[in-house]
Amino acid sequence: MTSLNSRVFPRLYRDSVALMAIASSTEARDGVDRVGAVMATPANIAILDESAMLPTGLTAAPDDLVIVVRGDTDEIVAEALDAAEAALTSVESARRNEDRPAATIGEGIQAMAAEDSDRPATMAAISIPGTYAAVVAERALRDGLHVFCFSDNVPVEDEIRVKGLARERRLLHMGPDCGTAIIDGVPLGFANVVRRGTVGIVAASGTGAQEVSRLLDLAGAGISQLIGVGGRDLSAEVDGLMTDLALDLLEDDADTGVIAIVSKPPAGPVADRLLARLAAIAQKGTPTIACFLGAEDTDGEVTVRGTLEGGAIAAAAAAGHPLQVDAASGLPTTAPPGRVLGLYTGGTLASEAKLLLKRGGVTDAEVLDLGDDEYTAGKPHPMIDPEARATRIAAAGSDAGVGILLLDLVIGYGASPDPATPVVEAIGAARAAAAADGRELLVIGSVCGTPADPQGLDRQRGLLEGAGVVLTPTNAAAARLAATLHTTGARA
Amino acid sequence: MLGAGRRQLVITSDAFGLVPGGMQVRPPEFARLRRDLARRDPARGAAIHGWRPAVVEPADLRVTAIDIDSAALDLLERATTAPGAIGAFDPSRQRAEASALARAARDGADVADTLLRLIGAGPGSTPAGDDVVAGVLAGLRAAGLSEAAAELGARVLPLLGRTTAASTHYLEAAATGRFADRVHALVAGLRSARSAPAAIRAAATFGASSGTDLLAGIVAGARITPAIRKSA
Repeated sequence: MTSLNSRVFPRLYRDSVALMAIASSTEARDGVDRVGAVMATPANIAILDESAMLPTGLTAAPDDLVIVVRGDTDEIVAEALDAAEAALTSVESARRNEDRPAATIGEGIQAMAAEDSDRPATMAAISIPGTYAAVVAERALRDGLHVFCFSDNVPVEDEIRVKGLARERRLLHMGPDCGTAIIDGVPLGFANVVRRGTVGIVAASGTGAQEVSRLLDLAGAGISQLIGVGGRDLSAEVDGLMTDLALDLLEDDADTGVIAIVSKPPAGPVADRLLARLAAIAQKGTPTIACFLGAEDTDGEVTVRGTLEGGAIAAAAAAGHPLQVDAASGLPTTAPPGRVLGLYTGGTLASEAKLLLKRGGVTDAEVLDLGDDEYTAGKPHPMIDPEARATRIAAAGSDAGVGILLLDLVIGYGASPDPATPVVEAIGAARAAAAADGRELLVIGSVCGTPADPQGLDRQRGLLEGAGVVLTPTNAAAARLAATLHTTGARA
Repeated sequence: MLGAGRRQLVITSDAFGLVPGGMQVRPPEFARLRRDLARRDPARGAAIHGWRPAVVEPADLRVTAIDIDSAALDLLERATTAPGAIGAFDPSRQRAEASALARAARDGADVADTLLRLIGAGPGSTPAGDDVVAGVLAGLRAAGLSEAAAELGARVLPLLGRTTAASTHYLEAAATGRFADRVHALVAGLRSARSAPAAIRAAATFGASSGTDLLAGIVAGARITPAIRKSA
């Protein structure tokens, strides 16, 4: 015999998240069988009735909240109802608490001013669904804040509008879909801990900027600012609105002695204008490097480089810290037969690998950017959550067509706290599957990180090396090695 | 909450988005207003301080026909299968009726029993069933079936007394073709496989299950159109 009772809270609204929490915590009490916490509409009364949860004599209206409890004894049920009522009341008092976090840009500005009036807010980081991002960005810009906009899926019309507004006010609007920036030494989004130096970077590509900046750190050059502008800034539509402003700011920045742009090749007319602008800056004495992925390397007033590695080497040299990217010793000279499969978490790193495999004469390589929307749909980016890639790495072991696996490993702020471990486990599984079939798998990769990154560069590298991964100093070197081994070193 | 003869005015900040028949104010004003309302004396109503006269711009909140992408539909549909049980109440029960409701609306079949089961049904102060119905109404309009949506809306109106005051407001607007900004954000997910993930993420942020319930309705409404183009 069980007991059933209810309590009605006339005209009481609580949001559904709070109701769900109250219902499940009440249901978890000893001796409680089932709990319902719903608005007393006719349809819900009918559902209660069907599920034998309708106490006799319950009278309530649609705007009343009713909590129904079924439990072992009358006493247990009464106590559970008391607890639920107490929880409802505490939700109410928490709601009134003035200490809740700021929920809008305006509240954030007020809160920071209240905390320390000498250090007012200067930048808003926006990471909300793209539909709303432009509205919030506009608000921030009108309040005099720079904007770092991580949100993607922002309509291009909105991007043009807010960037126009930002330009008018001489404020940065980094993004939308801006993954990486380092402003005054503060990393935003996905960024490595890069030493301060003299190279100012303007980047329309996230992991591209990470690879270039961490190589500058390796060279000892370091960066002054890394300004992300979002992947569409150099499209014909957006026309470099933010790149122009970023270049203005870097030109005026006393700490910047070299300027590098990292991007896919811009739209034709945009590229012409940008190169002319960079040439003019170079004539005034600041060396400029255009790192346009896939472009042909040329040396003129502007140094143009077609790879991230090439861009980093040129920028490091211009900053007086030549970067030595020696071929590591003890590299393999042969590889198992089979095609090259690239499983990447960094989009620009994947593009660079694709490009160099093609240049190396590899025609059957498959390089996947697992951070693309196509693969993430509703799941976290693989730089944050390495599991999706690990599954694919493990599966590659059962694919008889694959001989060489090509990987990136991105560490730094924003990235997974230990991306190497799931990769190492998956490589173990892949190798076991291949061996069971009488095959081998060669794994080549590079780590995009600096010694100061929180994950520990040496530790992450050590884990990969322990799993037999051949590590090269740059992503480009990894791709070149894969191409060479595939075309000339494949064992029969 | 509302006495007889009073009208509900939903005031939102721009972070939430507009709702039909509502009013959107700038963040500092919203914060002040919320503070004043929290301190209100229930007997006297709210005193609102410091509002300046301003230009009021009406917004068009109708959902109109769009190009629906079949891959986007699949992605959105997959996102609506997650359960979200609240004690004895699981909104998947209401979501399960969405397709049948959309089909009946298109075919001009009898929807009375389905609506009786859905309106006011399920967890939340805007019960899940109401979100499903509002979603179906939006989905039908996105699919270009505005007449079917209007007919279904006409069947919904007489049943509004069966749900909560907060929900009545949204559902009445939906029945006459107007939808909150957040519904528009979900409908936009139908356009392409690239726009779908943002809609799925947005849905997850509306209430405990409201966004997903809405999405289930939208997908059901949008799916029954014969004119879905193949994904590129």
